[in-house]
Amino acid sequence: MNIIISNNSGKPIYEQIAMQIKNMIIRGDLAPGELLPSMRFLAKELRISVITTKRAYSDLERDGFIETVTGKGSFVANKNMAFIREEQLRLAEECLQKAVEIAKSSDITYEELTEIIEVLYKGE
Amino acid sequence: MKGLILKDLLNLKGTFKTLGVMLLLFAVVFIPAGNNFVFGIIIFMFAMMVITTISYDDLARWDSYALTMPVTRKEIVLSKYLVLGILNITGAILSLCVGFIGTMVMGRSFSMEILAIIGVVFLIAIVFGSVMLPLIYKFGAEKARLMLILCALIPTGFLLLLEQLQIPIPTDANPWLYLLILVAFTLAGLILSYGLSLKIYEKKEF
Amino acid sequence: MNNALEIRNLNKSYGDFQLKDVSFSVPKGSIVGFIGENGAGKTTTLKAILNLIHRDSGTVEIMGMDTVAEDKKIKENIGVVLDGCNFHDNLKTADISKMMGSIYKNWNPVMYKRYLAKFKLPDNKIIKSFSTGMKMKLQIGVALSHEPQFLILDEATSGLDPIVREEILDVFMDFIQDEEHSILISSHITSDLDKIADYIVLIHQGEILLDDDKESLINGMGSLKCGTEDFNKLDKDEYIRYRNNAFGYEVLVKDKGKMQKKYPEVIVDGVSIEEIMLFYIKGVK
Repeated sequence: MNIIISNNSGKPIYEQIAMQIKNMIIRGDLAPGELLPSMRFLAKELRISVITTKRAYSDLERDGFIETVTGKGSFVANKNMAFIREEQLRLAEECLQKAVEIAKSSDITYEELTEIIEVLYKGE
Repeated sequence: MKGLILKDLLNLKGTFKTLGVMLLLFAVVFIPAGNNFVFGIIIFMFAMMVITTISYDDLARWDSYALTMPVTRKEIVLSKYLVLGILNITGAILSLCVGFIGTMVMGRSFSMEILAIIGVVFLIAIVFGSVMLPLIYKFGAEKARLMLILCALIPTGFLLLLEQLQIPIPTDANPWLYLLILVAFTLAGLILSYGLSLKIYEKKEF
Repeated sequence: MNNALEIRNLNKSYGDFQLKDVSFSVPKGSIVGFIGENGAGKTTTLKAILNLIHRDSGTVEIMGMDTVAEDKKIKENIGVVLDGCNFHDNLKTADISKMMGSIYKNWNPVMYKRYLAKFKLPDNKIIKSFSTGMKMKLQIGVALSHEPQFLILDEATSGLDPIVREEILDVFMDFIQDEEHSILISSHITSDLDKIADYIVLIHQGEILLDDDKESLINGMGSLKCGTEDFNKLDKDEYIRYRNNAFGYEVLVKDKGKMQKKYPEVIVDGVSIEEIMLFYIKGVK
């Protein structure tokens, strides 16, 4: 399990952690029911504060990716991953919808929009 | 409390060695000359070491650190008085040993005079410590060092006076009465001194 | 009893220096960075917590117990490192174990030995010959070897080289793997705290200016950079402090995302704890 943190990305550290774990879950690198490292251990290894890892985990929990059992730790949720992917897809669609609306109202062409998406997607 | 006393004794380990060498030197020089004050000097040197321990503590800023441990201010003060007592008694025992061995080697008999000197100096060293400790707690070891010289003059003068008047050999009528008065006086002074030190120390800020 | 430490309205005057109504807490399981410039009142606050000085008013509780009433019991369960080495020059590490063994009820000589080994501290040399970093590591090892619940550290990483600082931070992170353990660490060097602290408390001239969790500080606050005209457009309640020079303004704002949206033409940078501290101390309200 690799978690890489950038100090210069401008993204909050908790967001970076949450996103990478999300990715691993969706890709199937982390199986449903699998135990995640404890928040304190993660903080220690990454040399960040516990409150940061706590925030990442609680965001993951809020979005249904993980489940936390007090005293036992955090586990990858036993949800259907296809279902989660579906949900994420819908979320992306929603955001794109907004982008398209803005583009249409401001005379931004389809080509320009796809160019932006391409740059953003590949640049990440 | 035991830890605090142990700390002082561990700190003095090095000093004990130096003192031992000095002691031997003194014994070799003075005993053949028949000078019995060497026995007094031994006790005094030992008693003085309590001041050394306080200087060490100051140097390390130990007291403020000690107070972050499960140790009360009372225990810190009391431990210094106990260290004073331990050092004094050690000095007295050593004096007695040196006295015995010295007189034996010299072929003289162990006189009452030596015993009396040891006893008197023992008490004086306690009085001396009783005066010093509150002074140190009030003014710090550095300033108190100056006062130490002053304080040292008093018992020295007292001793010289005793010798001049030939009082320290209480062979006449009531030697025990003298002793009793001296002991009572010393004890009262010691208790008073402890009370005073504690009062000063309780108010101290680190 | 969810706080390892709780200070309420602590007051102490010391000649011309004053602690004014200092209140803050250390939640259990967390690391709190207590920052401020030299002479701001960090050490005085810590001394008042530990009863090294007598406070004028206010209460301090450690693990739910009043520090005055339960002094001894509390001190069995906390580990303290003060600024500078407090061990006598002529002692060796084994002497310290002997002493501490009869001072602390739960002194753990095995644990102490483990820390000595971990920090590579020699046991046959007197402390006088130790380097500053070695002395600090020794102090920390001692502070941890009676298995305390709460660590109080005054400037524990100041004046140390980065490698030693790293080793020490490692030990702190190990320590808080237990959720019952907490740390209060004072420092004027904030870069270490940027990494590991959960909460930041800033003291200045005896007053607490800031007390917040680090995550929201770093992710929320920003430094807005602009010229005079743009600065004049800002509302007074939109910023916390500002600093200006001959060529423009730097403004500490509470919510950098919101400000960037509202003023898209100006630069809003992220801020470090150090920059936040500078704004509070050097900036104008």
